[in-house]
Amino acid sequence: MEIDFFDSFFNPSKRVFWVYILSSLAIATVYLTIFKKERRLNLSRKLWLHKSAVLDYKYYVLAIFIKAIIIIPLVFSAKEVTQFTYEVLLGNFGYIRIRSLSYSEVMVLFTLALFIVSDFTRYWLHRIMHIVPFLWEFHKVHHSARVLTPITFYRIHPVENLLFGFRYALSIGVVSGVFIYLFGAMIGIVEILGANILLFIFSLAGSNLRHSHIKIRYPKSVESFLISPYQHQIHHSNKYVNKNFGGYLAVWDRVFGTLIHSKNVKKFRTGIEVKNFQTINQILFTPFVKSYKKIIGKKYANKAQTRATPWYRSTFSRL
Amino acid sequence: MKILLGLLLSLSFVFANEKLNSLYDNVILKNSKQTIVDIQNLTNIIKSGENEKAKDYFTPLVQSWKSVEAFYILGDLNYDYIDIPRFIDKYRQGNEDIKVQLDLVIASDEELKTALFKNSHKTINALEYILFTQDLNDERVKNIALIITKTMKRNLQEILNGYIEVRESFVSDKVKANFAIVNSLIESSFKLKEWRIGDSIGLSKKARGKPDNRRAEYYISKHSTIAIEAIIDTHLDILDKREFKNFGSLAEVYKMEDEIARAVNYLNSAKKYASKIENDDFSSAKNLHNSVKNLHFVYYISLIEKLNVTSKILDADGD
Repeated sequence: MEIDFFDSFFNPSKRVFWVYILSSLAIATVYLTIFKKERRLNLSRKLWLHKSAVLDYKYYVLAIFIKAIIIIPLVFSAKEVTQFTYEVLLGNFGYIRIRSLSYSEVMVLFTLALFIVSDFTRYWLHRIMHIVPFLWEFHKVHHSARVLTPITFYRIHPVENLLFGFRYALSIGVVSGVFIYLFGAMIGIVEILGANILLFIFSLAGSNLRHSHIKIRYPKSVESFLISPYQHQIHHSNKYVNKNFGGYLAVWDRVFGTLIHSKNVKKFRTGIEVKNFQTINQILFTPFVKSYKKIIGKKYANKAQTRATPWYRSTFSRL
Repeated sequence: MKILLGLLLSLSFVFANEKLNSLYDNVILKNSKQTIVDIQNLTNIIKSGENEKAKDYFTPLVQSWKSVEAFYILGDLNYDYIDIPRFIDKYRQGNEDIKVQLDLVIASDEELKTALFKNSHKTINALEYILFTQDLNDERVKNIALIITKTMKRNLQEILNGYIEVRESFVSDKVKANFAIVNSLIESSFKLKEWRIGDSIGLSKKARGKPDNRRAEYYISKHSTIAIEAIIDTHLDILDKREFKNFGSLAEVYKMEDEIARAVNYLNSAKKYASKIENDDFSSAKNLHNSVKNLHFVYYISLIEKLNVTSKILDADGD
């Protein structure tokens, strides 16, 4: 198995591809030139060498091993899902080939479908990680970062990696299977440097600033459609942790009632249960211990309640 | 270095073009021209009223027509030509019983131009019924057969003219050419597996568990196996080693040596199993069905692999 520590920096399909980092740096430079007060925090050693940031850097290296050795072999590939989807459609609906669209039209449709479906499933998995108590213990790892740097994006517990891997395989695989079924070989992605053009544009527009303290906001009307870096920073706060689950699009938050605009939040503090996640061991094992306790605790609580309340009482009390 | 790279790229383009040219001339145009020769020969025999000879001359027509139909990419290259095969062949289109309709036409006194008003009355399937169940010495029957061959010849000529017309665009637009080739192979292998074999042996979705040789494509004339063999031979002409360059010769350019070798292997075994079928009795054609099923599988799996769309999405981490 080949492990490349720097793959993320040289792969246009990764969030920290050097071009996206450079573009984020350029945006940050312009921002700090205009908002001079923000320089002190954003250029300080205290931020970049903060205990939390240093832990992120260390964990990033370890996560590469964990992903290569444990996660990737466990997650079924999007290709398998594509194949399964194609076979199910073919078996149930027979052979169909749409020929009325040109290659360019199919490419645009496919690129859009991949982006929208992927963003939608990302929203829901992210939200589920917050709602389900057992999963929240694992997602808390990401929210435990006291300071935000682009590398915080990779401060993800392996269990969450696994779930996001399944989400990726399912959503991309199903969309690809449907398109191959309908258009056969005539599909492709509109891309730049080998990456989906939409993701390239959004990444170039400063995706890395989502995990930073550069408070870039969009006008309210834009923030109703696209998540600004500041909106995601708000999501990392203690108070608004159940808001702004969206990846790139804000429409899902808007439709499902979890959107908050930048102008409604002036100040906030990042980091949840910081003390519980100060070492790599804590990051890896605390979620298991806490979620186990939660499950067992609930089980005992339920048993205790059953013992305390005889069946007839609970049944007849409703009458 | 740049010059060398450019030269290599242009050389590989010329190399690919040469093979596409060869495939077009030696398979597409050659088969299309052959259908015109075969329909003309059959027309001449019908005119002479020789029943048995006409039946013999039906065989090469089925073979050349199935070769054209199995690799019909004209509709992908020019949408205006998409429906022509439907005017020539009504297999698996609609539920009408042309035998009953043709019997009524033969029995009536109505002028043939008016009586044969439906497209389906002038297809190869109608011709099969006339040649193998009627007597060409009957003037009305002979005239019906001649109207059918005349209409078929006109449509086959239109296909040939269409191919001559789009030749340049096929060779110059390599991407579109490849899509058309791969799509036609996938479509043809599916129809071969599901319709031409699966329906007769009760392994298709439509006829699962209900084998019936009467569902075979040319059940009346017992030319169904000949049609299947012609389709398999066409796939081999496209992929296997031949005196001329073909899609298989591009295997190295597209790094598809393994996939093409596997496809050729399944085609050869399918050909072997097809040759064992006697008198269109498909009761022991399960091996043939399996080989074609695997062939279809190899085609679309290769497509999913080569499209490589699933790796062009931003990484599957959380947020």
